Amino acid sequence: MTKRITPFFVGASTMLILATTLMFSSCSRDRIERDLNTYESPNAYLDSKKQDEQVFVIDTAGEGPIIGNQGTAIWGSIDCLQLPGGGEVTYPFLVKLVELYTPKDMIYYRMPTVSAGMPLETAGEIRLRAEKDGQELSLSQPCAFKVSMPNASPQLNYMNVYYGIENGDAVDWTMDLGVWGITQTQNPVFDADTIGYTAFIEKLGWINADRTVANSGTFSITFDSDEDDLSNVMFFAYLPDSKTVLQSADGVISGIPAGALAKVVAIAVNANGSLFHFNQELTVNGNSTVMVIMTEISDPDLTNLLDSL
Amino acid sequence: MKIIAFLFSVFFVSNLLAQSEVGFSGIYNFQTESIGIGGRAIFREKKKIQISPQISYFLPVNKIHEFTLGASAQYNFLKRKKIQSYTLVHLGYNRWMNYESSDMKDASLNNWNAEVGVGVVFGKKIKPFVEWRYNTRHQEGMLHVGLMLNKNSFKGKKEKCAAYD
Repeated sequence: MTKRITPFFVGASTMLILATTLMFSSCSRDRIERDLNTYESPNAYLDSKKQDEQVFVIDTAGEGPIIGNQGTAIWGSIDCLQLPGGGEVTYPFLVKLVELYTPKDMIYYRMPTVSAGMPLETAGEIRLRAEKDGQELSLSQPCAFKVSMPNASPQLNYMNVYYGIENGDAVDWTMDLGVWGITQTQNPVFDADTIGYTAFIEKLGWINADRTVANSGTFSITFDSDEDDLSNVMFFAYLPDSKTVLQSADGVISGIPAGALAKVVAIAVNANGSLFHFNQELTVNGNSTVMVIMTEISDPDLTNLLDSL
Repeated sequence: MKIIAFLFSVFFVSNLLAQSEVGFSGIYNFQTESIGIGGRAIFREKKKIQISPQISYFLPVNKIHEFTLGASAQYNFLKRKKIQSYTLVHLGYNRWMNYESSDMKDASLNNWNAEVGVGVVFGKKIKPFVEWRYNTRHQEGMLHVGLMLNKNSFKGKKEKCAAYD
């Protein structure tokens, strides 16, 4: 027996298809939600601009120093290095160095100068690592490498040795070697030499020549925009008086000392790969909100802007 | 000539009114999360294609405060007993009273909207209806639920004379 396809069935099917199409058509909440310019993370752009890690192959004993292309000098002995687990290191091995001496390079590397939320004055950041057959080497105790960080006018007993605590992409700075179970044996204050600031470091990794700018009473800058979705925009503030670099977390830059001049730079990339930015200078005397309008900028112009901080 | 045109207009309008229904509805806009009320008439109620002038008003308590004045062309494509279904196209003038509070880039007070939709109406005298509509300009879906009333809605059943039983 064959069932007849009735006009009702045809009509009902047509209506069902039409109604379903309508229900799942692209709907928009633009009238009650913000219709903002959207951006993607600028991390890939910043990575393309950041300082390369320099690699030195150490295959024989020598007097040193190892000198980085920005002038960082490193003295060390193979006897101070150990394999994971404490094994002896033999030649050849690698020494790897990253040098960040300008706010531009610290911004490209996303390496703000902050210790436990408090701003630091910096004379430069380096990352010093050693490697043997793909294994990360460490300094044996009590042993130290000497580093000199270039500076035109170093001040005696001014800068302290800070070490970077790496937590994912973020690095916090501390003077406390106890974080790694290391007993401090060297003077944690930088001396001055013909190169700049010099000290003996007792741990490989991120090293910063810093001093505390403020311990309390800091303010924050919050960002808002009627034009742009700021969720993927990265904000930085450079405080020229204290040579401090700050980076936003959840759209807020905090840890700005009272009365500080802040040079704010925002960086983002849109879906087409075009570069966008915002910059503003302000003196911070309280918690502030900055209204942002991102504008397109060329790579050379943004580079010049960061050079001028 | 004017008299002929006038008489023709009177004839045409009275003919339309004779075939007309009126109704009202509650409206919910899913995208703007707004509640509105609507009023409508239907001309040519017995015909396959009907004309329906309509007005809708979204109250100021909503995120969107607006009214729309327009007309639908409805096509009755399916009837089963007392259930009539139809599709519609609606064109209307929209006045968006609180457009300034929107962050939408091209928000404006005066707009022309187009909507497409499907609906089902039940019954013969007091006729509940449900309608799903899609605003093509703002890409918003709306549900209209209401009642249509025709001129026989409140007339009682004719009593048959016993003499003819």
